Amino acid sequence: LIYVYAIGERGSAWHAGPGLEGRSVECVRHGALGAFVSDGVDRAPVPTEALLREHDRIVAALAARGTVLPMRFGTTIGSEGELRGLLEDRSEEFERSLARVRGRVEFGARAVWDAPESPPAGSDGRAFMQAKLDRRLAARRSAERLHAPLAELAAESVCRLVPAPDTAFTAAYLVERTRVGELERQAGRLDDTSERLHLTVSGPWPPYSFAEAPE
Amino acid sequence: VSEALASREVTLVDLVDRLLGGGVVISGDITLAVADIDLVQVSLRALVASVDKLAEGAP
Repeated sequence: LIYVYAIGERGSAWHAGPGLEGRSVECVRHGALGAFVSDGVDRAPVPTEALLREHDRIVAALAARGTVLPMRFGTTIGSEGELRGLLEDRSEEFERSLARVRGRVEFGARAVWDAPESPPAGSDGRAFMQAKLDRRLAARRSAERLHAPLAELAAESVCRLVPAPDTAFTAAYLVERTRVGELERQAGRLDDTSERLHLTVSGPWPPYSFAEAPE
Repeated sequence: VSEALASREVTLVDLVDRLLGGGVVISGDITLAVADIDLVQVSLRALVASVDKLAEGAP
């Protein structure tokens, strides 16, 4: 099998060091596109933390040198012929997506509650559900207050309310490289003014959350 | 920004969200293709943690 890291432009430089588990990284060119791959993989890799980190390291190195669309972790394809078929069939979509992310990086935001969710002591089912609903509404309001000022600085953004006890929302921003500092400062200010939430940003990331064409 | 891409600190939860929830998806031959990643991600994090434990030989 061939393991695919990312799709980029035909001419882009890709000397990214070793690939997954020490394999070499090659570029299969087709039309205006190039796919960054390692050949000779036995099966789709299991997502261990070590392999996730390796995959991200390789994709980040590619993204630092050119414009790329990361693949989802674990993407394998049967043969070079199939890979060329994919690049052929979806060439328009990939070229559009590459234009969308060019000169931009992804940043992530995560808003975590200071106090974990806990149902009121000795409460009945109705109070329990009410507490859940209150937390959900608070998450929605926090997203409006914290996400919107960050989204203003980004070319595109996505925000998700997370059904997890500790997290209010997560968001991803596709931001011009020149505006990264602005976004980080804005996030710092928002975190300083948050009372019940801690807002953290992560990045720059390769454009994982903006690699697929918008629906 | 290019150097920052290579040198940033990365948490597992952010990695899982992006590498297993984002990226280009090829139909048919993907490790994980889930429609509603929101609900699944919480268990994916647990999955990754337990796979790592198995790899370390922990109980």
